[in-house]
Amino acid sequence: MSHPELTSMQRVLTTLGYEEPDRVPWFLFVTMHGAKELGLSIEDYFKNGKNVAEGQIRMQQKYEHDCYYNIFYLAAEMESIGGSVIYRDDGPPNAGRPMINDLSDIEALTFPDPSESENLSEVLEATRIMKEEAGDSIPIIGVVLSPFSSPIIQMGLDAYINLIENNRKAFDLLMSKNEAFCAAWANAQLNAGATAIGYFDPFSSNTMIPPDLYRETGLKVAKRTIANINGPTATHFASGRCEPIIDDIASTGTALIGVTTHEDMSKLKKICNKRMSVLGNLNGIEMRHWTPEQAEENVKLAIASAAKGGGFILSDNHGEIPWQVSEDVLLSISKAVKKWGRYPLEWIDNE
Amino acid sequence: MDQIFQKQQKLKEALLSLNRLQAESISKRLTKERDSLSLVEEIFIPVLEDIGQGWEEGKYGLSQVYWSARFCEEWIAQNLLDESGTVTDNPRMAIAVLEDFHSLGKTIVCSIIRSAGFTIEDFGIGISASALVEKTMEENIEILLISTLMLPSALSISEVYEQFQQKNYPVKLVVGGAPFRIDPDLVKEVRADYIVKSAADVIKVIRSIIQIKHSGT
Ligand code: B12
Repeated sequence: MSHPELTSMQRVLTTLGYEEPDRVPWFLFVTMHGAKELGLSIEDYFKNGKNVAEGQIRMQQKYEHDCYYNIFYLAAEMESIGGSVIYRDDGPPNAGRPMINDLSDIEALTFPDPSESENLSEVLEATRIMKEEAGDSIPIIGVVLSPFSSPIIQMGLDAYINLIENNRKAFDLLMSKNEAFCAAWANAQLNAGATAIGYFDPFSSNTMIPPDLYRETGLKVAKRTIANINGPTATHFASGRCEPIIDDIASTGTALIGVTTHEDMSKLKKICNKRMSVLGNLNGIEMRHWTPEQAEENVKLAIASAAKGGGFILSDNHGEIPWQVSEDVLLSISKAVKKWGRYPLEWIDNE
Repeated sequence: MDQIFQKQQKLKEALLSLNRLQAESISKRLTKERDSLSLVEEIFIPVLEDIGQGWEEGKYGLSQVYWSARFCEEWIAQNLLDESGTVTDNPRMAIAVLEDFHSLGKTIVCSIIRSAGFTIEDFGIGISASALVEKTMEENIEILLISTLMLPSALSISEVYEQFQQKNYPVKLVVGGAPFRIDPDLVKEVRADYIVKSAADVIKVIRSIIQIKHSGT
């Protein structure tokens, strides 16, 4: 039986409804690579929403994946409140010095209206241009850093762990401010045309904190925040582990989870049990040195482990392809998805 | 042996649950029972190694690793300080975060090294390959530890290696950080002498470097 060719949007919606579309949908989370397409430095590329939209459109035409991705870099949110960003020419920009250095900084913390912020408005502009191009045929994935993970760059990871241990009142205040901003920022992206929001929350992963602490903290934050986001969300742990907390994550109302290479994706999918779809899990860092054969083999492995029955989108395990991954590798992945991703995936039973 | 195991488990439980009062009272009791050296060698370090191993296997969170290492470092500094210059043959060691600005890996590694009674110099964060090489040579460092969180910074370790080669400076390079855990082949590219996946394993590595030095190989 062969399926008629679907648009990317139909393909994605079908899989999220736990049905098999024409082929396995795949999200290629290329961010910086757009600069290569436009012949710009990474810094110049991210100065302008038009560049990013153009980069996304060209890359989607080249690799034929099933989404546009509007994120510039995660530190952009801190930049919008006056934080510095450190660029390099061969990798993603990083946040500069923490802005919260004592409790009074938490009290004083204020966020801008995203549409009036100089840099976030560029992300919104990029989203609008992508939407004009995509119409309803290609989903646009927006991104927020979760309120629970944001303080890592706002105040530094060690100071943040100490705050959670020693001062829950200040922690609660910090969360309430970040939650309000996060929902507003997500909704601004949805209004600009984003189809869904990637809720990046690696601090909630078991790589970072134990499940009990997550249930007391990050889970509650996610429930409150996701409830205020007016569109579907995908929770991503940026390659942190999540198996022990899958039931909890499902209770936040999120539709999809991004999972790591360090966990067994077929097992995670079983635990999700049609409450959430699974997104993953090609190893982005290893990808740099894959041969075309290895790319094909890894695509097959991922598809074989989780694609049957839908509820699955192929992607990398982090939500961002490193700058050092070559166009050739990405083209090999693209080719392999087309070759091996066609439902009903009979080859899986034969191999 | 069993008794030691039980003591280790008690301390481990207290550390994993971030229970400072309990961790302090267990440590106090143990100090009365044994000398500083055996307390560190038989209790603190094995417990930190065990927690680090559990983190690597996905059983514990990084927050627990960090908290345990900090507790042990502080407790030893406050309570065993006089005797804790226990290491007589302390190689000249330094640690830095190459190019990027994420210091937690370095903080944890330092805490563990200091808990084991070694001293180590801290060359800071965001340091370039050439500045790091220069500083290492200036300070006659024998073991250089490098932490990176971002992939491009991890790749720059090969620049550090090459500069040491060019200058013919003998130094052992010990590296760690998230990219190395995600891509085990990375170590071949950067040509470090040792890659350490979990901070607490660093003690074994340092000891084996000392041993090799002594055996003259
Ligand atoms: C939590 C997290 C975040 C958080 C906070 C990160 C932070 N600390 O600032 C948030 C959400 C903010 C985030 C953002 C980003 N992240 Co992030 N994040 C993670 C995650 C899940 C954990 C990182 C972490 O903080 N770990 C805590 C440290 C202490 O752990 P560690 O480095 O592994 O160290 C341990 C051992 O390795 C060892 N060790 C460390 N150093 C050394 C040194 C020696 C000598 C020894 C012996 C041992 C040792 O000791 C520690 C304890 O055992 C990782 C993925 C993962 N699974 O690890 C990605 C990861 C670090 N992120 C990554 C990236 C790219 C980013 C962004 C640049 C994305 C973007 N484009 O914006 C931003 C940058 C943010 C910024 N600083 O501006 C990549 C980096 C690699 C790469 N591809 O370049 C990773 C590895 C994800 C991936 N799979 O690719 N991230």
